[in-house]
Amino acid sequence: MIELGQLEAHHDEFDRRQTRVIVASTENTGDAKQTQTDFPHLIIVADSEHGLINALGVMDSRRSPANGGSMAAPTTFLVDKNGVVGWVFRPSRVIERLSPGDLAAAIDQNLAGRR
Amino acid sequence: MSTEPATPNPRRSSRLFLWLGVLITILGPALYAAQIIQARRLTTPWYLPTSATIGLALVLWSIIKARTITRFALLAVIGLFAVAQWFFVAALSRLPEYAGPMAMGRPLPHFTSKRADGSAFTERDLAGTQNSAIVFFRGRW
Repeated sequence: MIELGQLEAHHDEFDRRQTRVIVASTENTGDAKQTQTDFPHLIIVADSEHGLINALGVMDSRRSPANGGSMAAPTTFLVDKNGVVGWVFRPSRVIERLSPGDLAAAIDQNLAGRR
Repeated sequence: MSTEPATPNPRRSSRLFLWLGVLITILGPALYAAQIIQARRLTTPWYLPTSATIGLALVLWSIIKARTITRFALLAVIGLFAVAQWFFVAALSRLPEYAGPMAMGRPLPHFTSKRADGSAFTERDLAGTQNSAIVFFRGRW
């Protein structure tokens, strides 16, 4: 998990920006427990019942090539302390992700100074 | 003793193009492996299909110089490789633009989900003293 590994490795950058990183997928809680152990500074959400995925409208219409299951389209939301969305990003390709530096820059640009 | 200059063997002189084509084709996946394993950069590797296409052109050039069954076979393999890579990078990997209900300035809607430990996770957990970055991930990527 390169993406999560990179976010975990740079967690201090997000801590400095008073931003917690929540990572969500269609994993069940059994798999998510292992993911949480591997990435202790991230908050792992096991959205196997799609409550969060459907609320934010990120369900991918395609099926997982690995197991045929449903999956979320890679998307990032920045949310301020009041629960208001400050930024939405989706890469143009499934093989692209924001780097930790990109995410930190987006936080600075879109959430800095929000009360 | 003959004084005539030696005529170049077309097969030998075109061999350089053949091997260069194969090398450049292989270089693409090697660079991508380095990008993922070493640099850990998850960006679109446009150089993958590009290198395969350059490799294909070089092998084609070597065939124009000297036709052999081996070269035609390599042309077919590298051609399929290039087509597959263009298809994957340009078409198959494309994501639709976000068309969900969220936009800048909108409050999060009510939702219910679970943390890894099985406890509830709702929109109320996102209010407080910290901002949040919600990242949807999938698979082992």
